[in-house]
Amino acid sequence: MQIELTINGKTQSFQAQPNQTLLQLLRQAGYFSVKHGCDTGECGACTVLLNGVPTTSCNLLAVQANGADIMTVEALGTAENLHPLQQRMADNGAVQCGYCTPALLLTAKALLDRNPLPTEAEVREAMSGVICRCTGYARPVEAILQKDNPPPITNALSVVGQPVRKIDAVKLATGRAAFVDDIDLRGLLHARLLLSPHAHALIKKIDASRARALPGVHAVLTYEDIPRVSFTTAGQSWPEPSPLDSRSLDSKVRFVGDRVAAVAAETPEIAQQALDLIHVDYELLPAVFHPKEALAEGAPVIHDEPDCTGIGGYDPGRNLAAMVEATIGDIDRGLAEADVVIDRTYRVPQVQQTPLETHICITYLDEDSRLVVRSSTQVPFHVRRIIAPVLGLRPGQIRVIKPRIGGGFGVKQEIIVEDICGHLTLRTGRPVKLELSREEEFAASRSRHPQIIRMRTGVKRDGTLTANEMTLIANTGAYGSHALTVQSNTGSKAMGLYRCPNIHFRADVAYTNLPPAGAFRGYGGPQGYFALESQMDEVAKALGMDPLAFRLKNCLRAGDDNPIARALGEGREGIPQTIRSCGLPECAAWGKEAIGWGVHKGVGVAFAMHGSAIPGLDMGAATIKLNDDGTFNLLIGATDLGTGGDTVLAQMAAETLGCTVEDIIVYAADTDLTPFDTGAYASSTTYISGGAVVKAAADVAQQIKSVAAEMLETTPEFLTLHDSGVHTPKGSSVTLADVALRSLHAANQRQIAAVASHMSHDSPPPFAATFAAVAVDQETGVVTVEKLVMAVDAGQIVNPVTARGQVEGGMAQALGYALSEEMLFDGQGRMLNPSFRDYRVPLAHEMPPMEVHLVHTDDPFGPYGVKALAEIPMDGVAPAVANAVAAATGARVTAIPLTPERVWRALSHKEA
Amino acid sequence: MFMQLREYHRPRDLSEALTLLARPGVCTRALAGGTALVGPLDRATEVLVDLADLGLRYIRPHGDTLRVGAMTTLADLIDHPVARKLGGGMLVAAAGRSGPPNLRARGTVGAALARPHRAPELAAALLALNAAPLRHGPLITQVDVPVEPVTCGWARVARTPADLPTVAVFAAVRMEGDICRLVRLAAVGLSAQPRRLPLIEADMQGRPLSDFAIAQVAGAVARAADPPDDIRGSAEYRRHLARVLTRRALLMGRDGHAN
Repeated sequence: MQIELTINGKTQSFQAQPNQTLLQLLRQAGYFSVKHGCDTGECGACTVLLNGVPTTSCNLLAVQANGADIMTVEALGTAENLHPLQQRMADNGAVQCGYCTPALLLTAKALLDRNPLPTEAEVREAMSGVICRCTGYARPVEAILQKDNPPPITNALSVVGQPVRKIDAVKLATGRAAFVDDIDLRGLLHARLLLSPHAHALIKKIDASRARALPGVHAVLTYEDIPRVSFTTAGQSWPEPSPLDSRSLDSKVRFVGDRVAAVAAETPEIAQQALDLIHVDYELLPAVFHPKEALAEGAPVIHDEPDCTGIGGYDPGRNLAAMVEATIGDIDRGLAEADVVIDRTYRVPQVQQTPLETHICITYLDEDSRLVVRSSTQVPFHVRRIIAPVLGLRPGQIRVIKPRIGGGFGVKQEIIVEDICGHLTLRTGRPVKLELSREEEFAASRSRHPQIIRMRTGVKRDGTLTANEMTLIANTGAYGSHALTVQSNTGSKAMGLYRCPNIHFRADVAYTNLPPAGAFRGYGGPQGYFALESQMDEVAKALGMDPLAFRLKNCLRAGDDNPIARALGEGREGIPQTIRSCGLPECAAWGKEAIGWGVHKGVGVAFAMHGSAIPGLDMGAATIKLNDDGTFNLLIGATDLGTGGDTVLAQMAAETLGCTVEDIIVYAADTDLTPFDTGAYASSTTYISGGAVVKAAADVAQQIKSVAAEMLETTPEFLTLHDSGVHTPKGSSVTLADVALRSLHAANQRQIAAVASHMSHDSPPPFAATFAAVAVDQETGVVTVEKLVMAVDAGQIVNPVTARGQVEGGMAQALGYALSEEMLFDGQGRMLNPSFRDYRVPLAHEMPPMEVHLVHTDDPFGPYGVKALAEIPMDGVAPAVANAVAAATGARVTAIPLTPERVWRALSHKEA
Repeated sequence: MFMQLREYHRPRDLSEALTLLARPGVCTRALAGGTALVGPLDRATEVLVDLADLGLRYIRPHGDTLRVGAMTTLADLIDHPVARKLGGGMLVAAAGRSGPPNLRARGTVGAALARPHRAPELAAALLALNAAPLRHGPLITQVDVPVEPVTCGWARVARTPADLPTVAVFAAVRMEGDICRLVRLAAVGLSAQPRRLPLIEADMQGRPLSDFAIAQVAGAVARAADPPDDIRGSAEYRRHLARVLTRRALLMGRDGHAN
């Protein structure tokens, strides 16, 4: 049908198919700022202004919009001439991954056009149609309300500690093509996956002949068409601690949503038609969903294939994906010595990361027939190494590129699209795109491990801990992705927080026929801390002690060892860890004031300790080279997920090189062009990749000084780098450009450049104290969180704006974990709530007021004294809220999320 | 994603729309905003008849009713000065719970009534206000909402403020002194679809509405409920909420201000 649209002031005619959505039309026409997020309009990422009104475009047919006036962010402002809203969003840290930013901008513009001075409540109500999973909405709301930025950190440094604007903020705020899907490739095919409708079945026969015969279909792959290679999707360092229990396609399906076949076709519709034409004969097998039943004698065996292998007590014949155990002292003696023993069992749910951009990758063959994988991944180097054998290639035949990505939160450490997309490109020779739908992202990607956690804690009357034991059963679902390491981390993070001579930790991780768990920001920490910190309140209550005083009496301090972290390596031998800095007392003191501890009823607290990278394992590298004009190329393997990794690394380079962030040109995460990095996980980028950047920069600074010394006729030791120049104590100087021109063109010619690597045997923990104030409707069980406060000790803060935004975003995600997020399944293992309508993540107008405080400590290990910040905001919110509910009502809720029904059951002493 | 869609029509008058919808042997669906229809995988629909140009987007006071065209968006309704006052704000409060603002901008009152599970609180509030849908063949074209001297009360529990309710109760009451002359109760989450509770209403008519009487009515609602068991709550919890929320809605309705 011929339709006419006025897009950004220009009237154009389009030939639209009746079933084409406005989103599809706009993106095909090159308006890449309009994003796909959910297919049902509930996430709002596809919002445009339709006749001035914010409207979703994924659930609007292009023909319905015939004659309409449409505005996208492309028309709001340009990099040279930003709209004031874009300026404020960029400056205020409101842009993290940037995927929802265009939708937020348009929504805000429409609001301000109508109401130039909105209240905060009006801003939040208007924004409630756009889900942001990165910011917790705090920075965007403040940007729209024109509030001031947080102040810079006061220190002796000039770039580190400054609230520098995120280096990608402008391109993201102007909707420039920056994400995986924002390219046009000639001959691109669309892939779709046939997913299992059964939780456990053998594929007896699969007939794809009718699908292959369908015009427009270029490839149909089943397990019969590709070699069988076992691997793990976990995306970890070699050799992987997760079991090698997955294949691109298999003759057995192990959960509802497991892959059965893959199709590449001219259009998504043809691909879908082809899926409908594949005939599969299943032999149904008994399925098991509860981890205890899965570990029981006689349970159906989920991985009975001979070619799965693993470490860490791996026993697939018993559905045991991993077992971890560690003991400090003698737990029985510790319990016997106690005056009081508290024994409780806690439950934490399976939850989904829900990045606003679902998993997506585009694969194609370059002019040398090498496979290029353009992917929304946290681990480009692991992707290359891990998919190579699966595809029958050498890693060197593959190039993985990570452009900007629309959120990761751990789920994009998982390699769940690249392998099959690569198979389809190798089979067809064509570019292929595979993008998961929101429903597939929910039900067929990865999630946080649910756990059942028993705690036994012994304590003396004076509040001294004598024994602390955590034994848990975790459910890893159908595949053992991160089964060993997430559960190890539950112990090594949570069980190390309090000084105790006798500690016992054990985790049994079961395979079941539910969708697999995997990596999710916090990585075992949120599970462990919900149990530990609920338990600490129960212990304090039994002793009649103030829960905060009890924690401060027992928590780790600088100078303490963390023996459980040594006992529990992540699938390797652990490394001794000594705490060099701990800001917990300061965190507690600030939070106590901010929440009104002892003044208000219904207030709870939780402490947390996380880590900075995996000690002895995570490694990053950086290359820095000087250009003619005194700018530098910074090439890093580090993988910015949207939280600002590229920016803080540029700040650290600029600090060391005495220049500005604008002089640092960052190019990252391309396996051909940047040096190796393990990737963005385990809170490692600032600490590990930052270490590499500072080393490379220091090396380059030395080279610059030696050239400058020739020019200034002095010796390098006397020179300092600042203000983009090299200076003598007497005041003479040369610019970096002078140095570059001389070294590249004039004398003693060479490229000033360095590459450096960094790893660390120390993982200095960040600490946090989280406080929550709640009101509980005692008749209905409805919990209203009235305030959330978090004080974090993450050492030296490199960028106070991005740091604050990252903490707020983590708090919002953690609040979803506390109150409402939960994957629910029917008796056949089908997910009941695979949409934003039914799986509730916090919206802008559902968030409580939040306060964040960054406590400064000096840690000797990290570059410039940094510690990690990324994951710790996930740890304390759920237990702080549960403790606040207990304080308000006297009822202990031992399971999250704290839905009204669950709280009502606890209040009325009913079975959960 | 529509797999079979081959025709899209946007008729300009109702009879043409009805003719298109009546064609035998063709899977035809009316498009009334489309926020729920467009997007999910749809293997059946062959023809869409868009109701956008039928002139059904209006809100008109007419005597003692407010006539709301079926293609009126939920946002139109929420912004309308007369609608805002209906039921002391109950109608727009319910409309505001029918999805996020970017969807309410296109979602229509007619679609919400045709598919009450998408906007159950709006459907229930309209029931409590005694609104009458006007039908032409398979289409709802208009909703007449009485503007009458009642006071309203409503109460809800949901997993989060913006979630669909586990249970919500809407009440419209007219008191004469202590005596209840009229009451209409409608509930979400106590049965498969939002519905009125006529037997309970009949019991209350002409009787005093003391706190005690309200507690008894609330108990009766809970006993009569046959609630579903789903992701938003168990039947047992819903029965409990039926009691609590009926009481709260009736107290608010009894003690509230007339519109």
